[in-house]
Amino acid sequence: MEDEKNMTSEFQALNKNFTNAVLDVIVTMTGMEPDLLAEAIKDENTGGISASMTLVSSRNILATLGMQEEAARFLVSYMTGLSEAELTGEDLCDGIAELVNMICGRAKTFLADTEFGFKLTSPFVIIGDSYRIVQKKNVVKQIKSFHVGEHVITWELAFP
Amino acid sequence: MKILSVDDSAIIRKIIRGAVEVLHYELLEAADGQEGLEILQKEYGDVELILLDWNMPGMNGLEFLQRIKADAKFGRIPVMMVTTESEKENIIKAIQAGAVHYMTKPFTIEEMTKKILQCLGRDG
Repeated sequence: MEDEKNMTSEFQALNKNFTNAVLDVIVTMTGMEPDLLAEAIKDENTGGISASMTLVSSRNILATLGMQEEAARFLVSYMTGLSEAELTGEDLCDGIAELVNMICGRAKTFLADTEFGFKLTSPFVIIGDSYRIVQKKNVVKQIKSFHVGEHVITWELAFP
Repeated sequence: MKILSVDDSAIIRKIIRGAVEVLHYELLEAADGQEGLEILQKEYGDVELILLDWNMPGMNGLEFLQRIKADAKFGRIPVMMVTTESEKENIIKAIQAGAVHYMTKPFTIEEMTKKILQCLGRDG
């Protein structure tokens, strides 16, 4: 697995647009301004709730938004205006899946008329206490972490 | 006074409900195009606006739009697309099929209420 240092300039450009999409979608939908951390918290994506979407292009990309359940409850509560106690597990999955859908849609808009066009697919959600998402070797992986309120969320792009 | 939201995301429908209730409208909810048609069959006389997602399982938003615009009973109801689909080509398709507005997700509640009022001709 490669890290950011080994990424080509085209993937760095792609990443920048996705990072901006994360910031834009979360601030618009929740009113909370995420704080991009200088260093990604790589262990944060184990357990909790992750929503992923495959972006179909000449090189398919797997985009994943991951967080602990408390963070999901916090974000979805701000999205809907409902109290955290009112939200069901299904609401959390649906809300995080919808965030991924919107982030990828937003990035697609940012990248319109560039060489990085892609098609959206249906997002899917992984929930559990201690899972890890592992890609094959030679996958270029970019992870960004953000503070939102007291919580950490992780955004990950994997390029084959 | 009713507004129909056709969207496969229950969370998006809950967010839309917040905007619609501010305007003192009742929200009817459908999770896909087929369910939307079934609700319209019963409620079309009271529905003043349809908020329509594009990507849904089964009958997608464009197909639903084309179906209702071809129907004499439903064709008068204004439709606003509310979707992550932002390709110009798709926006043109939706407008050509009869959508009066096209709103891309993400959106704030304020943007949603403003667009709803525009669609209802109550923004003056």
